[in-house]
Amino acid sequence: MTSGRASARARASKPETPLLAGNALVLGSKRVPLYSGAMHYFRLKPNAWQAGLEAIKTLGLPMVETYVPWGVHETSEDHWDFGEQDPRKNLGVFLDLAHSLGLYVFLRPGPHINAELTYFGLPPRIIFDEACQARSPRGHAVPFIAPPRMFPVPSYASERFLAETKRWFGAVAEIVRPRLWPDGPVVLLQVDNEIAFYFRDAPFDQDYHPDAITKYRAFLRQRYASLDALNRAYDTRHERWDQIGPPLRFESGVHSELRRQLDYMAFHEDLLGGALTQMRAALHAHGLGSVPCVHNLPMGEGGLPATLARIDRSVDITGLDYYHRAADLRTVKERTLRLAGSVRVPYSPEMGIGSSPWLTARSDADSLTTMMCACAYGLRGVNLYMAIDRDRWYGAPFDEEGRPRAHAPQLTRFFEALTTAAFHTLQRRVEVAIVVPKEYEYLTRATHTLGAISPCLLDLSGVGASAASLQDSFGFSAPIQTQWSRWVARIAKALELAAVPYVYVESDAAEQPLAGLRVLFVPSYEFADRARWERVLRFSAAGGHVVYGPRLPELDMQLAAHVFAEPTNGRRVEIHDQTDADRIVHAVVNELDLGRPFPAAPRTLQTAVHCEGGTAKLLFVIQPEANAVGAEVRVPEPMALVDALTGERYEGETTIGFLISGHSCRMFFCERSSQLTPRAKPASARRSVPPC
Amino acid sequence: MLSRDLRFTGFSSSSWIQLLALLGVDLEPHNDSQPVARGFVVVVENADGSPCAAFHSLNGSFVPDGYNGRADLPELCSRQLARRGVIVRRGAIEELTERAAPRVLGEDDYVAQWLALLGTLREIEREGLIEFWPARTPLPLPSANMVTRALDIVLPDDHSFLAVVWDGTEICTALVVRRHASEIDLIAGAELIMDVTGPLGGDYRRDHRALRRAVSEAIAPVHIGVFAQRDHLMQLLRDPRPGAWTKAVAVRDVIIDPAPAYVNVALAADMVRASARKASEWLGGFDFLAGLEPIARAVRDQVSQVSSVSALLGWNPLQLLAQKLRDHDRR
Repeated sequence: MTSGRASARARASKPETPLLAGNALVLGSKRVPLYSGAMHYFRLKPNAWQAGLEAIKTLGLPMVETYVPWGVHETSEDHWDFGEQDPRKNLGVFLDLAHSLGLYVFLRPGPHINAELTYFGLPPRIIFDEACQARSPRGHAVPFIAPPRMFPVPSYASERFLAETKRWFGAVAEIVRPRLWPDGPVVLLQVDNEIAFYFRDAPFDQDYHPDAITKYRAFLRQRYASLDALNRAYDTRHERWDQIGPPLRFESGVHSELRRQLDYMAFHEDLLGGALTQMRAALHAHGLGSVPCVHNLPMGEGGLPATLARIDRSVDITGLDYYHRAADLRTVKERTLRLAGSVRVPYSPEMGIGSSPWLTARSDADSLTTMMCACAYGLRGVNLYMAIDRDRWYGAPFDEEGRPRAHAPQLTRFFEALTTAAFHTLQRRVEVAIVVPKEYEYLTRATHTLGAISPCLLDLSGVGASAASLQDSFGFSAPIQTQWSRWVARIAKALELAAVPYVYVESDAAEQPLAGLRVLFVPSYEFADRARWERVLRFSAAGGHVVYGPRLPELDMQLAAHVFAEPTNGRRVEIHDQTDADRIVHAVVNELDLGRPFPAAPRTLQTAVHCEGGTAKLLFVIQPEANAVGAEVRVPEPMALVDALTGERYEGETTIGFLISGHSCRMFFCERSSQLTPRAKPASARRSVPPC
Repeated sequence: MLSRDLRFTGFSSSSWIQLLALLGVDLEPHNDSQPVARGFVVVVENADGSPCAAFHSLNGSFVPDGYNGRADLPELCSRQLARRGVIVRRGAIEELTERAAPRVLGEDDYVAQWLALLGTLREIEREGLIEFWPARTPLPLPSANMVTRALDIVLPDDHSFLAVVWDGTEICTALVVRRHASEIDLIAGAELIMDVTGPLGGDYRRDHRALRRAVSEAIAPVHIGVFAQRDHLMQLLRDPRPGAWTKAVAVRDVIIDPAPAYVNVALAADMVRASARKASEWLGGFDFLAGLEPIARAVRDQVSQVSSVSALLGWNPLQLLAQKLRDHDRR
């Protein structure tokens, strides 16, 4: 029995703010996994709120998520309705109700929220204020085509917009501050949404707002320190900083011009990251800084102006949106592997359950399969978007009155399984990473030729961010902007064929994701970021194996000569086709005896095992192709696989067989089968047997 | 045409997907193993016509070897197994967005905004900055006013359009569209319709009256209601034969209730065309349609709303839909 003094001590030592640890929120003595469901209070009748919140609980989710839309709550400048006039807008009552029902709350107050709201949830006063609007190279406002009205998108550089945002956060804080955990239910806050210049994110599409130009000059001043240095780098003769303007298009591949273009891409990233940091500071200033802060990037992140790793430096959790069809499981895999390798908490603030009518139609099976596949490759937390249906949406598991639809029970079983397995604590062991070099992504963006049909849109469409990049080699040995991603894709395919688990690591990610890795595949051409190469060298010096190529870099980001040392455990390779990649990967896998846990036949099938300590707990089997097949999974010891959704049980000593449909994913609990005799392991299989 | 406060509600994934399937939206992935021409090729060219970037919409970038100018696009598409191609002069999209921005933002209606954008695209195309292959015969672009006037005929203000589709005895999808203050302000699915209607018997030939009455009372008076089994409707929407609609309505495979005057005229015209074709076949190729033309003209002249919609837009939306659906199914 605990004495009164001891419990008082325990209370005193309890943290009084929500913390993040081990892919979960630490709330006092509780660890709460990042599972939640979206419900938009402002779109529902208040008498339906309780049914909706209870429905979220029946899914097994500990948390409800909602946007708080600026344009809905603002009635006129400096006047807000938080329920005084319209009870649907009573955020305080909604939060209190969630609290009384034992739910935690994840709030997303924007300023950008989209949510299929007209003007993306911003007040018309802001949208049509010229001082807040982004600008095109010719100074026009920049419309986005979302229904039911195309509207001029705001500028992330506009000081006016950022100041107005701060005032909005002040109004929200009046309601939210008293309801932060532990006094209330609010445990997570998101700042802004899908930071991608409101989907007008092509390299020279915007932002030429006067404040953006001022920030661009400040960026250059910080980078070059003196005008002389800048003039030398750019081969220009500027006499004053205010003579410098941003590039309006990709002019030429002359190296002095390339430097300018690469700097401009870096500036865009800095602008977005800086805007997020500034908005987050506004939350802090209004007393909302005690809870972890989230941001989500839209699909097509391979073509975005900012990397996941950069955004992860502005917030605590950086996530991805998932709105895929089951036919896109390879894309789900690629995206999740990049997320898992580049951020601290692999999370999805928008795991589409149903969809907006403006987007590609998705079935219930598409939603569930996408979520399972993302979990298979390392996602550790999800927000079901939407859990409760609402205006301009279809396919949530519960309708607007909280009545279950056909797929609600399956989702409940899925979360039961995740909870039973303590999924957020499991690990997918990975020994191999492919590095995604930021400097080459900059070059890909800078050389894009289709204007507003941006690299992000091309990436989203599946053709890759570099599809419309110039094919010129600019004096290098190859067009780096299109070649590097091909190099990466070939290595990834070879690893997949070899059944070796891997992740992508963005070159500017924190050092932490490299811990535990044994091999890095590093595309490298004539120029490279010195800092990135230093990391590669450190990894190598610590015993890691580096496969790089086709060249050892010789120019730095300023395209100035620099001596790049060869990695200690490095091997330089040239990859001209898939056969080269397969050969190289095969050699590395054999030489280093890399783990290939639970390989499956036929080879199109993919597996991902999640372990606790050294023990396999959950196995995902994925069929990315359209045809149903009989799967055969090789197991390291006699065991049973129990389907987490259907309860079907399959046993075997060395292999286990079952059927799997096309474009689907199955999730199994791994159970040691006490009835079956452990078999002797062949020496050749020694390394590939222990999955974790 | 679309209200700023447009409400879209009442669809499960299944009912939304079934509705889209009727309209031919692709929901099944293509079988990649078939070596048929799919997708399109984009070639970006410099001012001198030389290519500087190229990609296939499904396969990604490629080096356009053998491409020496726009005349080579069909050959390039054939080599890349693409059904279509487009050549974009470098800077054309930037030109398009710069020119379109003030025009689009000068409109306060979604359709008008799209028309402004498409009008600018046509302008860019005429200037040779963009070229499509095969060459398109673009439909005349109506003005926003024309679209509004056409909509006035099809769905007058403060009325609704109702379509309910059964699969056996179950409603598999439904759609109600309401127009208010000249704008579409509600698009709703089966769940909302069932909420206002209550339990039904399962026979569309009987249930349609209860549905029409309930929607008229709860949402807006129904201007046109279409009730059918899914398979019948799917087939009819793609059927090019004259008389198909008339026959389906006559045998109550499709119930149109209420049927505004323009629908009756359309059905009459459909019947005339069907009769003409049959007679022509019986009479060994004699063009009977020419003989019936005065009658058909008289019918159209009396109540000419179908021709009005087509005349206003410059094209017949139903014919266009049927053509698109047939093309889609053939693919």
